[in-house]
Amino acid sequence: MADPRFIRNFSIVAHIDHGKSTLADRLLELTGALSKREMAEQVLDSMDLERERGITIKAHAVRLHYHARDGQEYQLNLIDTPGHVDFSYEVSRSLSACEGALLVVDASQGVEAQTLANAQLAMNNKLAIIPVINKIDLPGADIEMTKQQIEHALALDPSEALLISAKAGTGVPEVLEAIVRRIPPPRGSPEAPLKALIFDSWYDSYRGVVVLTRVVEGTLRVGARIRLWSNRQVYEVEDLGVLTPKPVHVDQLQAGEVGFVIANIKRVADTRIGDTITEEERPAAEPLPGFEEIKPMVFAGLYPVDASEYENLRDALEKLRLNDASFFYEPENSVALGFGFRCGFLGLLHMEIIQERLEREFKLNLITTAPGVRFRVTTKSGQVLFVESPTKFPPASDIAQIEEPVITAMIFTQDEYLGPILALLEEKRGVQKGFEYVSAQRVLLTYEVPLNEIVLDFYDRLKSVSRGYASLDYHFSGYWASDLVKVDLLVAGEPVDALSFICHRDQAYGRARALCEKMRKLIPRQLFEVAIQASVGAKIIARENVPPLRKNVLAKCYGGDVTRKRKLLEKQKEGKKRMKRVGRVDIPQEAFLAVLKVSE
Amino acid sequence: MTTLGVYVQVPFCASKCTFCNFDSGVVPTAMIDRYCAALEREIVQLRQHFQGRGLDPDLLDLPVDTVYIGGGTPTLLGRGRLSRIFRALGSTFHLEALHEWTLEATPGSADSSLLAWLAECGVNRLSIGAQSFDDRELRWTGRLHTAADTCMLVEASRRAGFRSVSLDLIAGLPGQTEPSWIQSLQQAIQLKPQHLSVYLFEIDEKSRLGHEALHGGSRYHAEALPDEGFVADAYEEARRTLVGLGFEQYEISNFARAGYESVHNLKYWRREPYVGLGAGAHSFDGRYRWSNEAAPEVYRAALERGESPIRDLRELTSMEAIEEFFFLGLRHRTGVDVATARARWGAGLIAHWDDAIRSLRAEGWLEGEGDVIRLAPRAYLLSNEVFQRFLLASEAGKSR
Repeated sequence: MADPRFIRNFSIVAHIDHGKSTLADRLLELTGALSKREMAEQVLDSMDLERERGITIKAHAVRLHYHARDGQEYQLNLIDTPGHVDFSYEVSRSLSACEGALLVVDASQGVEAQTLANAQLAMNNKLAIIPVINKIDLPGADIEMTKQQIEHALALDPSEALLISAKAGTGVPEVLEAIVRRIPPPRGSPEAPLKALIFDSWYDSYRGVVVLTRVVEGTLRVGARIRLWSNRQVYEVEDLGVLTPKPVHVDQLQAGEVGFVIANIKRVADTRIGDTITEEERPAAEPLPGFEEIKPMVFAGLYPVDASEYENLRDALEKLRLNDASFFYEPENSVALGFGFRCGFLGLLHMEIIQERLEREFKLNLITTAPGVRFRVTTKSGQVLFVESPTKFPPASDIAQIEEPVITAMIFTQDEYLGPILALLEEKRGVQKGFEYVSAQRVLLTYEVPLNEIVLDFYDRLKSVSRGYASLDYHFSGYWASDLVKVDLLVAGEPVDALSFICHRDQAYGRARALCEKMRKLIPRQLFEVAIQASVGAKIIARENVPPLRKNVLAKCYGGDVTRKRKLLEKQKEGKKRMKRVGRVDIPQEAFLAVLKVSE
Repeated sequence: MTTLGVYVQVPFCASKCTFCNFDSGVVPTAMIDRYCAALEREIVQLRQHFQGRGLDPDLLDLPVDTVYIGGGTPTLLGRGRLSRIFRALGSTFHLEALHEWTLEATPGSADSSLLAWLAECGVNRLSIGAQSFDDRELRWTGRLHTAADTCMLVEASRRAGFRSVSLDLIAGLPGQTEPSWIQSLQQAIQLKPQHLSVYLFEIDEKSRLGHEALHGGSRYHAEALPDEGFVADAYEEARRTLVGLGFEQYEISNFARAGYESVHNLKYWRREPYVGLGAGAHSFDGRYRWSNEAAPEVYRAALERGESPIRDLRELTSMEAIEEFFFLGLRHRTGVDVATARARWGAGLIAHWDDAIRSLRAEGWLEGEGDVIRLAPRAYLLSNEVFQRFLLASEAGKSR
């Protein structure tokens, strides 16, 4: 039985590409958890998609054995965290399973938005934070500047920072020593009533749901009857284990330890991140703090291009949800797009991941409508509705007030890009909450911005105006009342519901014009003139025309090559089939995406 | 009585035009020689190749009424090579009833002695690639001749005694304007050709100019390409003018004085049998369609090894044959008679097209009385839109 004094539970947090995964690899290597040969590069990122995007989407936990310089054998539990703003709740729960965190900062980049967001989450969870300055061997490394930023932006003592190169291995043994010396051992009594934190879970087709847990109080034993606090369901523990990273069976996990639980749980949705596991026979008096229902923040419609794939899409969504309880879907019917699903995601990246997996793993051809948010609408009769689809908006005349979700955004940038970034934030209806130099030329901006503006094209715009030298992180901060209107798009007089969008009244004209213009370029010429109009209520606020097709003719029959002629006709016909017909007009898929990227 | 058309492909040019989307190229003389030797071999061994691929060699016993030597630039071959090809044709085919013998000629590539000799051999129709009578348009598209060369060739061919001269014009070339198009049209008319083809430049990936235009480049004067509206107007202008002068528009892009229609080209639209010889040439025997290996060097190598150059041999299904019956037949001014199709393929099968025909008629794209349907003149420029609606086989195939 492990003595809690020799257990250390920690996470590594960092801004993307600052070297978190490389450092994790080194720690595994140094403690002998995996030999170099066994180790696929960056073992903690398992899904293909994660690897491609260079981010970690799901948290994992690995137990390492470290023989420290004080002669003691330590059990180190490395809890990996997702590295993206969309998953901040999951990050926060993973961090709450730890007593300490390594905060990795790239010496050539300095403190970035996710560094700050992660540091704040770690502080909120009262963790011991060890600043680690990485990539000190890069030519562009500026250790002094990085230390300044650690002091000013993060309020941490820069003299405590470790200097390493995870890639070369420099300074990594000192990191292990620091973990042992500076992170406190877990507290909690193995004899107390059980309280174990769920910080991750996934579905395994052989074993059912696998739950990663940190035992905070008491002891988890094979055969015990456990109860999940939030839904009161009772299960019998079938198996317990730890990941080394290979799964290894254990008979019990006691206060301070981290491992996995298998208990014949059928649905991932039953094992909510942040929930507390207790014992049926001797339940704890209260659950662990910090549990929240995960609420999707970004919504979009997903439609099969080919209506016959609807069933396949439903099956695919069901399968994905088995492993990802954080996204939700419900059937939706669009006049323009037919049958599909309204889906809710944690954020834009989460949406892209789901979309890509549907297309890649399930070979589905999808149309995704413009992402939107969930508005709070108060009708004149005093009813409060949450509306996440423009098509479900009540008529303008019934609306007393519309409120929209607002986020607090933190943006780090070089001051040379401040001008266009401030202009962009202004355009996006942002309200400044903070403006701070964290070192010479490096600025931290804090803004409140409506989420609806962020989902439109904010990332792309920020990236382009800052030439990539700005980092963004945000968290939900509440609702604002706003003067919002619904803009509808009509093609040849027919409303195309999938192209409706909600925006601030002041932006309606500009966006409507831009969308009409874009649609004019995207809708191929038809046999008749096609009017493209945008309206707010009954009022037309923008209009474009697609002139009629004048010619589609094959003049020559190249030496009797009928096959070539046939192929061309078939290709054209096939092209039309891939479009969606609204009224009399064939609209290509790209047109439905156009609304995603409309900027003034 | 069924007759046969023979097409011979000469895939060589003195220079490659920027608008060309055809497999032809500029090659050294030695390569031309070897190609012609292979072509002769193909013609002479045709019967064996037919048998080898399960094709009915009786096709070759049909009387040949049209020969079409196209390219490329057939005149580039010169008298010696052409005479050997003609001799080979004579040894394989029954040319006694040959009625129309066409050869394509590029201005500047044929002198009067070659023309006189061709006429003497029996070539009676010269199809001249004039393309434009504006020297800047010709230069910009990489043509090596001027408008004056075209006029000289037409005069010389008339002196040589060809029964029919045809001129090709292309609408939609870079730099083309309304006045320049009218001028090209007028100059062509003044040369008194019996036949005129009006083609519309197709912007596709296969030509250098088309590729450039599709990718937004400016080489080959792609930025000076006129727009779709201009090309459509130019076509309508040509139609009005030529029909006004008594030319008959017997097919979407072909105009002829009475009795001077291209009998060979009509075979394509009427689904009559033709045999194509040379690299990339296409053939049809009423049941099968096939084509020869398209790359001249591969084609040549196959024949030098004694192998057949036939590729992509395919028997048409009834559905495909009927589709062709419509989308090819409707190109002709007189259209098609649905009763003929019923007699050939059965009323039950033809009924599948009833809906398409009915709606196209109702929308005004087709006209005609009773079972006869033909394109309405307003449908000429949009004929592909009409023809697509006759394609039912591919859909039936998918739903299975």
